[in-house]
Amino acid sequence: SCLSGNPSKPCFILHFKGVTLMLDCGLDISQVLKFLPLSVVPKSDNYDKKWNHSDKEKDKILGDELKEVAGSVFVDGSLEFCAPEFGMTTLSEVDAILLSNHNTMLALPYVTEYSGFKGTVYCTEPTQQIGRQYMEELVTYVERNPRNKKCSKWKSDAILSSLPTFLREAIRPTAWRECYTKHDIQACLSRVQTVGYNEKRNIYGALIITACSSGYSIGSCNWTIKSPYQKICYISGTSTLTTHPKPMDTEPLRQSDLIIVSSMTKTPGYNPDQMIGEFCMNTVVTIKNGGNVLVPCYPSGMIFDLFECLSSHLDSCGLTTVPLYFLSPVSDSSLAYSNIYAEWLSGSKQSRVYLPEPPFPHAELVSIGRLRQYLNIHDGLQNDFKSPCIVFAGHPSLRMGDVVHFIELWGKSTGNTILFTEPDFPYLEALAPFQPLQMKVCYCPIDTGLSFSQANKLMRDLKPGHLVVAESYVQPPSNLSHKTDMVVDYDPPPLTYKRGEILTLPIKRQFETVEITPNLAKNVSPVEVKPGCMVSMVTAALNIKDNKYTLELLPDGHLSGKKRRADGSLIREKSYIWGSLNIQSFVDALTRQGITDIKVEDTEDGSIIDLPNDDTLIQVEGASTHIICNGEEIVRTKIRDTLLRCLQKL
Amino acid sequence: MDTMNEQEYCKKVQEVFEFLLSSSCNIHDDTLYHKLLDSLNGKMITPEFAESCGVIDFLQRAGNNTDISPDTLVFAVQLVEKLVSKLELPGIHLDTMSVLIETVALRTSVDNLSVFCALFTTLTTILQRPCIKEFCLNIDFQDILKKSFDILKEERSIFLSRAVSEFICSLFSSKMAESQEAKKLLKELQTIIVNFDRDGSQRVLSPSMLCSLRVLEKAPHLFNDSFAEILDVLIILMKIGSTQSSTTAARCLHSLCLQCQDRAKSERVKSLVTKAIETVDIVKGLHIAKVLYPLQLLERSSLENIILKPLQMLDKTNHSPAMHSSLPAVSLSLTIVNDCNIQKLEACKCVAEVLKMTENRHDDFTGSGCNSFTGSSKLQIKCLDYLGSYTSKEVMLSVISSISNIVSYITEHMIYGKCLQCLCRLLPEVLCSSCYSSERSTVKSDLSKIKESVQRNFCSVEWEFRDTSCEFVRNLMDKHKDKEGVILWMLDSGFLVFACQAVGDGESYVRATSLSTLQTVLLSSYRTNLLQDMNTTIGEIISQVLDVCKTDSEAFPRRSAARLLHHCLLDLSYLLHPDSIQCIAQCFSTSLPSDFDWEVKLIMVEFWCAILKRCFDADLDKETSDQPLGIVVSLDCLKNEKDGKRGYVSISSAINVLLKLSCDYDPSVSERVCQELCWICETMEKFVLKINSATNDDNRSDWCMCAHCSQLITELLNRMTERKEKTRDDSVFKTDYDSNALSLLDDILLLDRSHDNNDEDNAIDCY
Repeated sequence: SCLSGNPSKPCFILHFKGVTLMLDCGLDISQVLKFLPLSVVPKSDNYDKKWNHSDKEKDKILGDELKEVAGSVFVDGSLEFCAPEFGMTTLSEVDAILLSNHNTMLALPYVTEYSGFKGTVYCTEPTQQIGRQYMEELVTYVERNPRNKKCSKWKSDAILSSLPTFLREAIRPTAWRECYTKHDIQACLSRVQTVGYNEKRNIYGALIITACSSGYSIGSCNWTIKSPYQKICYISGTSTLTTHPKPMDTEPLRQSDLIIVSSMTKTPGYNPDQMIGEFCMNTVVTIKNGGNVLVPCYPSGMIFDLFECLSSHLDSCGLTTVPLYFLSPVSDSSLAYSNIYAEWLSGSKQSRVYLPEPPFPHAELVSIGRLRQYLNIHDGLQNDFKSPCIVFAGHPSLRMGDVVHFIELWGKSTGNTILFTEPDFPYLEALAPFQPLQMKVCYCPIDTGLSFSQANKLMRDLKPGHLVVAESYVQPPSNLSHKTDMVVDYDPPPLTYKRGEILTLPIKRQFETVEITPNLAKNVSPVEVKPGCMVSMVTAALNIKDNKYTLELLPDGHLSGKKRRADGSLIREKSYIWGSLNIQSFVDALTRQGITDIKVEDTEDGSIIDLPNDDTLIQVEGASTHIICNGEEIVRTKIRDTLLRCLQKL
Repeated sequence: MDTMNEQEYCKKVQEVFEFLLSSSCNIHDDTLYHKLLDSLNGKMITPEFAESCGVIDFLQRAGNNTDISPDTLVFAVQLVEKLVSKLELPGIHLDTMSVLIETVALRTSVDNLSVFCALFTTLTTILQRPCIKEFCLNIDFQDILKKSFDILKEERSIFLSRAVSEFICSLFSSKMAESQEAKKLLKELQTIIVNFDRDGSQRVLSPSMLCSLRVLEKAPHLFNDSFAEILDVLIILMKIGSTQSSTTAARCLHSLCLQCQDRAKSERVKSLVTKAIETVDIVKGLHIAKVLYPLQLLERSSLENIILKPLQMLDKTNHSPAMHSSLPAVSLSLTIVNDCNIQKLEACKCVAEVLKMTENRHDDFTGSGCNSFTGSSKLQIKCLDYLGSYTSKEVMLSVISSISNIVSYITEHMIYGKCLQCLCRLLPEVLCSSCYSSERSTVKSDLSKIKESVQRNFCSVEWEFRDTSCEFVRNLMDKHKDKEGVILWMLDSGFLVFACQAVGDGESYVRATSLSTLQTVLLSSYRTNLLQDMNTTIGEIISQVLDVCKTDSEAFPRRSAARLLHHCLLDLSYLLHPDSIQCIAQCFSTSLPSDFDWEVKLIMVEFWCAILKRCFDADLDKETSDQPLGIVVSLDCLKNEKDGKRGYVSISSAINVLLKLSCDYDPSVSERVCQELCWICETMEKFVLKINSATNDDNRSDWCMCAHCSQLITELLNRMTERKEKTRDDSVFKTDYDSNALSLLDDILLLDRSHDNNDEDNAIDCY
């Protein structure tokens, strides 16, 4: 079952071998764009122009839920998020949740704290920590400058359909949920069991799950889910590029019956390397012109690469004194944690540890005071602030966090620049409530996720039996419809998923391992049908417990050896013949039956036995025997019985 | 070479020849033959010396010796070539040499390609010498000509065919052209051309046909007898031959036409060529037109039509992909337009149009407006090359618009550089044009787009872009230093600030270019405005540059910095604060002499020489000297203080710096310093004389002759004497073999002696 409408924030339910797994638990935050930003320093004249509905009745119902800013309409209420379609399944029956990376776990508290979930959550340790930072940052932003008014009138179908397109396009707003709390985060993460790369975990004896490096972020992983005879792989948030995390490990993903792919790049038209170059270039141009640069960002992930590339480029351009400010409620833990996860990093980063140096250069930047981190704008920033500067601040949606303050502060000056690098949000929509904006806007989305060509190459290499991808991955992106190569192309054609859809995966359980109890084994008389292969008929009871199959003696009282039809009549015991016919023995047996003058003729495939007196021809071939007689029943029966006697039977 | 050495040399040369003629001679390394040949060529100044060295004897014996190795034979033949072309040899020596050539021609198998290559090359040289007839007396010239013709027909090897072809061509421009043998050969060459297979099966020409055509091209008058047939063949060849054959035929037709006395014949050639060129395919037509354009066989305008045809066939209405001309044809056409330097409006329009079609547009990614030319760097380079040298006013704005679009989405720094070169050329005219001041014109927005792109590229991740941007600013300042409009545009764009900030760039090349730009700024007549715009002063710049001189780890920025300081002191000393002058003087006298880079040291040498020259010149001719003397060089020692002017370094210190550098480990530095010290020494001597003969008190007080200064002059004179002695021997820069010809001979003889122990398996070929 696919619970999420955004393939980059996936959430699936997989029923396999009697186990129910949830694969990722992503939270689609893009719906917060429908809301007004949460200002850090509230101003009375900001966002207070009420939007009037043309229909007075509806306007009356709406009240002042909607506000108009620069021609766009926004909801003036507390922020809400679009959680996955948890109603599609009974969450209390989910046995385990497998998380791939910090980007795909933000809806986890909704499952663990509000659904009766009793299973276990598996992820790597960095994913847990970075995920915690993301969640805490989100909650802090929402709680720090709360807008306590919950707006729901605009969501009613009657009103929603008459609202401007931007709001009308909201996906199931009635199902949106308010943000969880810090307590929820603590409780939720306490249920997490951390795993290492390639560490095997047994799920109720039925499945072995393993996490393997996906190269996307620190501790990000792909999952292999194995039963003794089947293997399913789940690829989410994977990168084949060389960045800071440990490179992708493809070996465990080979020889799989099926691969599910999600979280491919959100910006297939933009090359990440070029975008980093653009980012650095635009930053330096602004600084050299005396302006400030604002970079809306998440507290971890790509930001580490940005610090590294940007500081080195600033050095190249002789701008060694320009300060970098990093504002996030979790900025301290984010910078600190990144430097202690050496074993989860790329080879080059790991090798720095042996020098010994911190794996990331931002540690040095912090130590020399060039990169300064603050929990928020009131955390001493005023004392150190020096312009021109580069500010990294959350949240990339521009609806919450310190970034809102900086846009309001710098937005009126043409010398400043806002640089978008996070691809999660359409930047024009994100900027809509701040219009008219004078500051320069640059869009350099950096998404290291798999591009279509990389994904196709990877799949050609991994050769899975079947491929399952998002529906949007098999057709070119809507804004690049002519780019027909921007699709996932595979043979057999990939199965596709979309929000709210249930898919039957083409995996058939053909084999299963069954154990036989010693008591039953004693009664079995195997017959060797070919060297090393013995066969026997068994009548026993099949016991299934903890996904293990055992054959046991039938309990007393059960009829043994007598099978009955549904109507109660006895089924005659059948015997199974096998083996190849010895022609000479067969001829001798026929002779003993009184058939004389038998002629045998060898052919390419076997022999033909001619019984001229009975006008009968017996054709014996490798896998078949044909008796062609003139219809005399006695002769036919005689030959049949003789033949059966000459063959072995079970 | 003194007599002793000469005798030893002759003796050794003879020994070497003996070794070469011996059957045991086995020189694996043929470079030794070449070095010996070069050495002998240098030493053989007279026929007598050649004789005394045993050269003539060697040649005689080489002709008679059937056992000598092919390499030695090649050496002997090449030695003949060198001697004949260099010396006026007596008849007896010529006889010896002609016998050798005759023997080689007769006895050697044609399979021995290197020997025959050398033979024909030597014969080609001899053909041009006055002694050719005398030389040919002893050889069977007819046989050699026959052999040469046979070699051509057999198509043996490219090198041999080429040598033979050269020989035959030279024959018809030599004194031997009138010989019976030559005439016979000419007949055969004519026959080859006339009998050319006209059915088109022979698209690639045989060496004999090629040779015949080369002779025809060089001496068309010899082919007058069969003019009609040859014309016919050439026209066919032009139509059906390969590109190379067609262009060869075109050149022959031009020669044929040139020598035509008969106007009718000449007109016929032109008309046939015109018709033929119209029937051939477009690419071949372009190749032929390229050959004919500088030859003036046809009207240039008609050839220009052919050359521009692929460009004119493009669908210009909407730059759509529906084009009638292929990319290779357009590319070739552009190459020819560039090569032939067709600077005409029509050509310029076409090139500008192609450039427009190659524009990298923002909508490329969405697919609309793309064609096969979009983003073609090959075409862009050719167009920009052309437009960089010529752009007519009519297309100027279109070119600016294209450049603005190209640089907006540029990914190759080479094209970026060419765009900026082109812009640099066009900018003054654009800024003066009426369109620029018109509100409706798009040129302003194009220029502002370019400004934005250049600013971005000043901050590019790739240093080449940053460097090219800096270079652009330098070029603007340099080429349009008097054009106020350009300077204002540049100031408005803020480029100057970016260029000067690049002094702190991470890449040394960018720092170097930035410093050169700063130098141009300081030397500009708009200096004050420029410095104001940059919000800096000359003193701050000097301090920054001095810092680069002393601390930069790379040589390129230090070179640029040293150059800047050099020019500042020489040309702008009146603007500098005394502290700055002192710092520069100190830098040049203490830091730079110990620099690791030879070029920095050379700049420093130039600096001190220029300063000293000014001091000396001013002193010698006081009336012409307006320069404030002693601004750098102090007058207080060697040259005494005068009029209260004090410098920062004494002349003696300056000379001391140069003296130290005359012993520099880098020969290019020490050699240069020694050259400079010559004139300094001469000038100093004049001053000493002047002092000694001076009678009035003024002159006596000008120059000091204290013990220190006397010692300096003595040291200077000693150094010069040492140098003269050193230069008497051969230059130190020459290789060991050049400086000592005997060592080469010794090495060859060593091969002879070590022959027994020579283990071929262990021989290492160092070449």
